[in-house]
Amino acid sequence: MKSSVAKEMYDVIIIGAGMTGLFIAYCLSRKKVKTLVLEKEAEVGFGVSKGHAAVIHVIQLPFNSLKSLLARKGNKMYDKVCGDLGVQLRRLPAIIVATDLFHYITLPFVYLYLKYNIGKQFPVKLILRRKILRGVEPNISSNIRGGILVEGYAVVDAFDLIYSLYKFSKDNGVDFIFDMEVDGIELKKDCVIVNAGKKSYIGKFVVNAAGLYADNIASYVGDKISFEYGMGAMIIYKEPVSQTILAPISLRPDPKTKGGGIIPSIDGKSIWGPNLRMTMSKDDSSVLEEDINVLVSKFHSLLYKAPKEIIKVYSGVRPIPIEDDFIIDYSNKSKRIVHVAGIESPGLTASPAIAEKVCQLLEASGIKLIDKSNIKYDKIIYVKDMLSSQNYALDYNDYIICPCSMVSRNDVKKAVLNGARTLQGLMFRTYLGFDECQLSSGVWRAVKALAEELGVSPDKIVLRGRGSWLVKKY
Amino acid sequence: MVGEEILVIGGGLAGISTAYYLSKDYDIFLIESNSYFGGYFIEDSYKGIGWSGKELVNKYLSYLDKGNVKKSVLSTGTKLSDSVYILKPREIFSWNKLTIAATGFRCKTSAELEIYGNRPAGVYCVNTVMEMLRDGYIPGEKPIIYGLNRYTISLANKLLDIPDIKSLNVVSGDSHYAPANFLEFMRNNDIDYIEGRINWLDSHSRVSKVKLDNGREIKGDSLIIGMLTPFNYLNLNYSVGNASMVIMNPLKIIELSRIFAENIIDILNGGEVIKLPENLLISPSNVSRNFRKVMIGYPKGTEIMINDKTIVLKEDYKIIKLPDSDKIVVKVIR
Repeated sequence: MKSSVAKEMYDVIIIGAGMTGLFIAYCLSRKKVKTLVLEKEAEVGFGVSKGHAAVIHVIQLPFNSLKSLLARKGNKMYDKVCGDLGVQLRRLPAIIVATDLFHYITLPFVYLYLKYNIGKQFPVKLILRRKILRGVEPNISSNIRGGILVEGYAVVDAFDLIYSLYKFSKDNGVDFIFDMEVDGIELKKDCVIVNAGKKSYIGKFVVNAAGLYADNIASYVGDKISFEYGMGAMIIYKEPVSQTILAPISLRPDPKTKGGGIIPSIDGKSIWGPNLRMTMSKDDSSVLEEDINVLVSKFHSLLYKAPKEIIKVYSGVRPIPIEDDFIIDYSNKSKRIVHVAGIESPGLTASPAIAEKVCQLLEASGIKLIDKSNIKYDKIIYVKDMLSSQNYALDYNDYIICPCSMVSRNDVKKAVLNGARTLQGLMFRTYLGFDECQLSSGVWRAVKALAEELGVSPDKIVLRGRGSWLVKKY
Repeated sequence: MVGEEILVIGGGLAGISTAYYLSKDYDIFLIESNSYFGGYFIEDSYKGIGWSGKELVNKYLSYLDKGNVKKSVLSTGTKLSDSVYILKPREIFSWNKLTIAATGFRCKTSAELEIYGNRPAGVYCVNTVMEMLRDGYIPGEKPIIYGLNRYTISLANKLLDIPDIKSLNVVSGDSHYAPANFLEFMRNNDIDYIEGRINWLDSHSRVSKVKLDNGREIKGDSLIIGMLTPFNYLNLNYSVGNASMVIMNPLKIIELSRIFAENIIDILNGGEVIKLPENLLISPSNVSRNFRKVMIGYPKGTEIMINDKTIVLKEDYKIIKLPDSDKIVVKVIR
C-alpha cells in the first residue's frame, strides 16, 4: 500500500474528466453520494473531448450497435440538459447529398433504409429536385441533384457544455483532483483502492472513463481492452457558409468513418471535417497537409459559394476499440468497476445516455442513488454574452484584453474561479483567440491576467500542461 | 470645423499621427485597448531610417497634447448589431459619427501560412513578443523569427540586447523584398539567416524545431511569426496605417496618415467618395474625388495599370494622384 491513503471513503471514483466522465459526475452530483473525479491532465476536457466538432448526431451505422442506440437516446436528452445548464443548442437538419448520377439513383433506397430504421424518432425526407433542396440550403452546389434531409441534428456550444457540467458537479459536491494520473488499482472485498503516484483513494465503486487511456486503466485490474487510434482533422472557416449540416452520401462499406460534414458552428463559423486517418500513437495529433487537402476537396464541391478564410485547423485523436463499438460494462473481475471505453464519435451525442446507463449499472451493483433535494447552480456569464443586453457596462476597473474576441479582464477572473489554470483552459472557457486574430495581440495581456489571478508570475503559466511553458523571465 | 467629433480606434503610430493631422480641423476621440499609447513602435529602437519608431511615436504623442484630442486607454471599439460601440471601464456607449480604424496588423495564422504539424506552446506574433519584452519576459532562449521586414528586424534588434537569448534565427521565404540594410544588420550581429518557407512545426508541448520546404530543419524553442496582414477587425470603411495595408516603414505610416487625414477632411466637407476595388494594396480605399491622392503599397519595380494609364513604380510606398473618373480600375501587370 502507498504512503498516504485518503481517510475519506468515496461512493464512486471516476477516472477521467472528459465529456463522458463529466456527464457521469453530473448525473451523480444530483444524488446523495460522494463522488471523486481523478484527472491526469491539468484541467477538464483536455483529452479526446477537445477534438470535437460540436455536432449532435442522428445517423450512426450500424443501427443496432450500442453507440448508435445511445447516440439516438442521448440526442433526445440534449434539449433538457442544455436547458438546465444554460448551454446553447441549435437544432438543424442535415442533408446527405448526391453529387453524381449513381448516387442520385441510390437515394430512394437509402431513404427507405433510413426511414425504416430511424424514421419514427427522426423525420427523414427524400428530395429529388435541386430547386427544392436550394429552398432548404441556398448555398448548395449546382452539381448536386438531390438529397435526403434528416431532422433532429444539432450543434452545441460544446466547450460551454464541458465547463457547465464541471461547475454543476463541483457546486453540488463532487470533488475533482487534477494532474493525478492513476497508476494502479487494488480490488478489496468491500472497496476499491485507486493509486495515483504517492496517493491512494478508496471508493466503493470505480468508473473507468479514461478516454485514450481506458485501456491502461483496465489493465490495472486485469481486464483487456485494445484500441486503435484514429486522427481526425477539422478546418474552421470564418463565414458560416451553410444553414444545415451537409455531407456527401457514402456507400462504401467503411464502418469506421461517417466521413464528416460541413457544419455551421454555434458561433457563426463553419467547421469542415473530420476526416479519419489511423495513427500509431495516442499522442500524435499532428495535422498533415494531406488531411487538409482531403477535407477541402471533399467538401468544396458541395457548395455553390465556397468560403475563403481559414481561421484555424485542429485535430483530435479517438480511441477505436477492436470491436468497433462502445464498451460500457462491468469489469470481468468485479462489479465494483465499470469500464466506459472506446467512447469516440458519436460520443458527445451519446454521453448523456452513457451516463444514465452507467448510473444504472452502478445501481444494479448495489449503490443507492437517491435524489438530492437542494441543487445549486449559477451559470457563469462572460462579457461577450452580456454585451447583447442593452444596459450592460463594464465593471469598475474592468477592461477588454482582446478586442477581437471581446474578452475582458474580469472574464479571466471568472474563468479562474471556475478552474482555469492554463492558457488553453482560459481560451476554451472564454473563447479568447477563437476569432480572426487567433490571439495575435491579446495573448500577453491574457497570460499576465491569468498569472495575477493564480497568484504566480507569468513564467509559471503553461499552455496546457507539463512542459508547455510560455515565457521565461530575463 | 472644431466641434464635430471623429473616433480613431487604435493608438499606435498610425492612430496617433492621424489624430494629430485631423485635430487641426476636428475634435478627436482616440482610444487604445492597451494600457499605453504607441503600439508596436513604442519599443522600437532600430534606427534604419535615421528615426527610430520610438522617437516618432514620442514626437507625435507630444503634438497631441496641444490639439483637441481626447485620449482614453483600456478602451475598445466593438460592433453590436452593426453599430459601433465604445467600451471603456464603467462605460459603454454607441458612436454614430465617423469612425476610423487604426487597428494595426495581425500576424498570419499557422493555417494561413500553411504550417502543418503540432500546435505546441511557444508560437507568438511579433507584437506579443514586443509586449512581453516590455514586461521583462522572453518567449524562449532560442527564438526563430519567421519573416524578414521592418518589424522583425526591430524585434531582433531588441532580442540581441538580452543576454538570456542563446541563439537567434531569422527565416524568410521572400528575401528579395528585404532591403540590403536588413541583411547587413543581420550579418553584423551574427544572426543566422535562413531562406525558405516553414511548413512543419514539431513537438507536442513546446516548440522544438521547424522544418522548411527546402528540407532544412532549424532547432529552437519558440517561433515568432512576423508575416503580417491588415487587421481591420470591425470592417470599417475608413482604415489607416497597417489596418489598411501592411507598411514596412514608420515614416511612410505617418505620410499615409497625413494624406488620409486630408482626404477625410475633403470628404467631410462634402467631397464625392470613390470606392476603390477591394483587395488592392492602395490606401485610402475610399477616396475623395476632389483630392484623389493615394499611397501605393506595391513594391518598387511593380508595373500597374490604373484605368488606361500604366505606371512603373520607382519607389516603395509611392503617393500618386488617381485619374479623375467615376470608376477606378487597377490591374497589377508584374
